[in-house]
Amino acid sequence: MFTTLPERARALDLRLTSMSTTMQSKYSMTNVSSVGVPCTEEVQVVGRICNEAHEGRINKTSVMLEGDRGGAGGQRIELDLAPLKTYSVFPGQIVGVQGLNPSGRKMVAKRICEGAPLDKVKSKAGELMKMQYDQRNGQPLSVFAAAGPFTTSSDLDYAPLVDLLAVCQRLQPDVVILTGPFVDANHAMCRDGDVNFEDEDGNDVPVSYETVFQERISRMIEEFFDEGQACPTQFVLVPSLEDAFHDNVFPQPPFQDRVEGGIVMDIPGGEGIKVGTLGLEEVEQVVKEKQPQTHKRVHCVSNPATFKINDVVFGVTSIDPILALNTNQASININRMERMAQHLLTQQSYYPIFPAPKSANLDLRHIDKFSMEVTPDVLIVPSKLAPFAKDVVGTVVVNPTTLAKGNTGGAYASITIHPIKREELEGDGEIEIEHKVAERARVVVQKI
Amino acid sequence: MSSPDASNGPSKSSKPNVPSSSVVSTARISTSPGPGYEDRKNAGQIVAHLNATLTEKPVVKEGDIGYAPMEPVEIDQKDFKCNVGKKYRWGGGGGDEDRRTEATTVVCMNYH
Repeated sequence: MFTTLPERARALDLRLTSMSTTMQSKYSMTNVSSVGVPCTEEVQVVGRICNEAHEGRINKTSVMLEGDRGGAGGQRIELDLAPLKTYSVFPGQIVGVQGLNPSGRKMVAKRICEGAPLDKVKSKAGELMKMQYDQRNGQPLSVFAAAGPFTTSSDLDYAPLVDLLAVCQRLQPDVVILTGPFVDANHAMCRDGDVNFEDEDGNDVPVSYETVFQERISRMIEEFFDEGQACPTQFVLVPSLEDAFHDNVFPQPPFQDRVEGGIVMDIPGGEGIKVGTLGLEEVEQVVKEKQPQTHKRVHCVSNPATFKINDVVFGVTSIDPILALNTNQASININRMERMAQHLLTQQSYYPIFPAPKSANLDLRHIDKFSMEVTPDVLIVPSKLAPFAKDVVGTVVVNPTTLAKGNTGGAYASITIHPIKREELEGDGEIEIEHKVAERARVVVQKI
Repeated sequence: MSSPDASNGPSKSSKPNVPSSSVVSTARISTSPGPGYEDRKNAGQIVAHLNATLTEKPVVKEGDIGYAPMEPVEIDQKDFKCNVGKKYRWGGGGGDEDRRTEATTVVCMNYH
């Protein structure tokens, strides 16, 4: 990945200054000084948390505060958090600190502000009434969320995904959000290059990772629509950095064919095999054959992605920021999982950690593409940590964990969002109201 | 003759008093692969929840009593500029800004 140092520094500085402006206006901060300017009186500063040590985890004695390039020349000072009763800081976090810095080299914090969440999305009452009652007869919205790997570590049969699709066939959710990895680069068979499918004659034929996606994921979704009766379910596919056939950079573009529609191979031994395609177009064709007056069923989105399902704003990423935050933070007296999720919202980013772990290839030139534009109503952050579903500052944060765990099954989340009460929507249709999804959402994470 | 263990009570060290050459490991190494996916337990068990007292969406299919046609949900990204666009270009390396901006891409990335 090619990003020059000045490009990276510019991106980080822009983020710091924009967050600083937001925090100053949101919290009416006065008497704001630059980081590292000595002052005998109590001052407020905004800066980025850094680890004094270049390696290893941050701890309470190694916390540094870095100022912006314009006001503070990017200098770093020691940050003493000992007087605080509760805090949670991690490298890359933009914080506002109130305290004393008489020497200019060390700031003793009296208060700390761990970022500022963006405003919630509001919608006009008339629009909500139309979506929730006129179009859907007051029926709740049902969304399933599952994260890869979708197959067990011993094979590439995708048995957990087959079971999930069977549940979907039975319960017919409106949307199924699947986050990668779909073809896990860390799977033993992928790592060893031992990816073979059986041909019609029973011979093992080595295939590409793209073909695995085509023959397993696309084929299963195709069969899902082909079998049974007409099903309204739509699929949202979110890529992962661990997907063996996709670009290994964050933010990630959506899945797409390398060659539109694919090309049929014409080489000995590979006749008839389609390459360059993920086979998702064929899924749409199957749906159209069955239900000609239908809508698009498979939506490929980026990683991270912010999108609306009717009126509800969803935020999804597969990069596991919760694990990265959990392993590199200094904290005291916190509810760990809730605070990790809160960091994403208050830092207005799907991946606020910097420097990132080696497994996350961040492209900082596109830092705005993994920043949040609004605070989502539902945030789906699959993590290897224990599953949870929480109301975090008004946002429903769900960790459905992975659908396969080693050689056995994992879990998936079922989210049911009830409509707002009809009485609240009647009257002036132009009034903008908050979605308050956390009050009307039922989330259940259950084992597959 | 009494053994040291008998005279001093239970020994803190449980190492047997035998020459090391005659020690035979009794640790059992399982050769079975362990329970597989088909042998898993507690399928359907709830492991986390929020507002679990609210009801689930009822499954009413066409032909069932209470069925009313509904419009399909709309999935929409156009309100959010923060998403990476569909078009994507692999650069030839070298960070040529002019060539990058010429491309009609939302995101373009150059790799070495």
